[in-house]
Amino acid sequence: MNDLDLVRELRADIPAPAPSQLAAGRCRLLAAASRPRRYRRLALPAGAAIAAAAVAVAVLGGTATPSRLRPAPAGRVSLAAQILTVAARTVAAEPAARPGDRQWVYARFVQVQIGQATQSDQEWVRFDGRQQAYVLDGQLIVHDNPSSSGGPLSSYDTLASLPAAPSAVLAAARDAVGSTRREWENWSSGSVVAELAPRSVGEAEFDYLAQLLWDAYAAAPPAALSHVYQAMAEIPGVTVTPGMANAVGRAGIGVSANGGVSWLLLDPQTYQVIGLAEKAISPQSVKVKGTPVTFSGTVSMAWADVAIVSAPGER
Amino acid sequence: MTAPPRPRAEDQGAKDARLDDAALIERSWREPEAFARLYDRHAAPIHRYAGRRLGDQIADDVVAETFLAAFRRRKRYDLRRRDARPWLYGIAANVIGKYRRAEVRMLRAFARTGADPVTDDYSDRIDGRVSAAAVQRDLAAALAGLTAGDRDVLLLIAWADLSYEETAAALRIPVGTVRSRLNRARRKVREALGGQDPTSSNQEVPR
Repeated sequence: MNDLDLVRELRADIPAPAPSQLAAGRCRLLAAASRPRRYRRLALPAGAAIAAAAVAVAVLGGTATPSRLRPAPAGRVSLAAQILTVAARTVAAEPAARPGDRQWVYARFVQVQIGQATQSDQEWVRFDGRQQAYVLDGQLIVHDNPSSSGGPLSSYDTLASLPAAPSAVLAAARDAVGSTRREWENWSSGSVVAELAPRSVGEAEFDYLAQLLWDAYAAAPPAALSHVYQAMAEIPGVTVTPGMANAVGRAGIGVSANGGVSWLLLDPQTYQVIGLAEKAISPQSVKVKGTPVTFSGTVSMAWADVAIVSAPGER
Repeated sequence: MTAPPRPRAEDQGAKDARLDDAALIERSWREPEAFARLYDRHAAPIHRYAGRRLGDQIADDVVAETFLAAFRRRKRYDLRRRDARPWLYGIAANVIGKYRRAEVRMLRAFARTGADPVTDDYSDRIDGRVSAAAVQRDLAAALAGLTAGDRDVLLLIAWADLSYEETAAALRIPVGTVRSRLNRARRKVREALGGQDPTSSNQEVPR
């Protein structure tokens, strides 16, 4: 018997899992599969969420910044409204630039997670969403998408179809996410953390609109973007946090509807969306069978280096 | 492109059973729920692999996280790879990596005390626990002393039964690196076992 055989024998009597053990994971998978992609994509070990909520520590880009967690004082609400009004005016002045259906969108997606190396993925998607491309082992792989839903064009069109008046925009958001906590949780991330599902109508409206803006990273109609900012300004409890940074270190203004649990990050000059950030949770706070384990919580995400190009592979 | 008429549920399972992994993943691009079939196919062995490294309880989370991550990346799957096992084990390796400190701590405890926290986790389903032989405790110490990358290679080959090529694909490293990591890991294992009978351990694994 050689050394490899000895390794093969180590713990060899461990049995296959019982079907009941696999059921929970299957449920989580199906929950994710039956929902649209959400930006709140925390992945925590089961049971970690409650402990984590109790001892949460803010970390952004690796730097502890507990002050960012404190809910803004009431006076800040009007500051948020002011900033969003300026944002609405600024983006409305931008020329409309809708890419052609067969143009390609290059994007580098960057995700910062606790306990993991920063993840950076490059991909191309045709504006009409019908084709996608990525590089694997140095080779460009282009594949067809059977459906264009979820592509840049459909995100663009969804924004463009919103009404103009702030109250009508908010009503459309309520129609989409529902009006009960249960519906918000269902609409919320498939991956877990009901704790982070919207807890108020305003938060649900904000999350829905933030998701629309996030999805429209390739191109957004300036008028619709402006209307969304005006609508966000009307949501009670929305706060702003200047001096934040996105996943690639670009300065941004954080806009939050949940007192600083998650933020939509806007460029302080152009007021375009530059990322999303979440309150992070200290890795030491979670124990599995008495053993502290590290786990990943998404801390920050950004679409970096977005460009409209004529062919996949171009940047 | 129009979607084919949706067959009745009972037909779907039988039809999916004939699809290989790549076809199933491609199907999940337009029918996300189809990804559950991939789970049914591969979750149990991946659970056992994760459980063997981290214990029964953590394995539940590793499997759930692995398949959620795989689901999110399904549109980036290289459809030329018909068998998804290397891809899934590669994602699982990343998830397991997050529990590295717990894994090493348990291996060290095993080496020190002879009681394996991992198999203890299965005590309701493994009969007649006996104190481990000295050789197993030495092995545990050796595994604890490997780098994470070397341990991944050794255990994907010894425990997950992946070939060199599959291990390379899983960890996205060249096959040559798999060989060198495996050699290094095996050398350390042999050293930990007191260098006993080194000649018999030089043979290559038949693949």
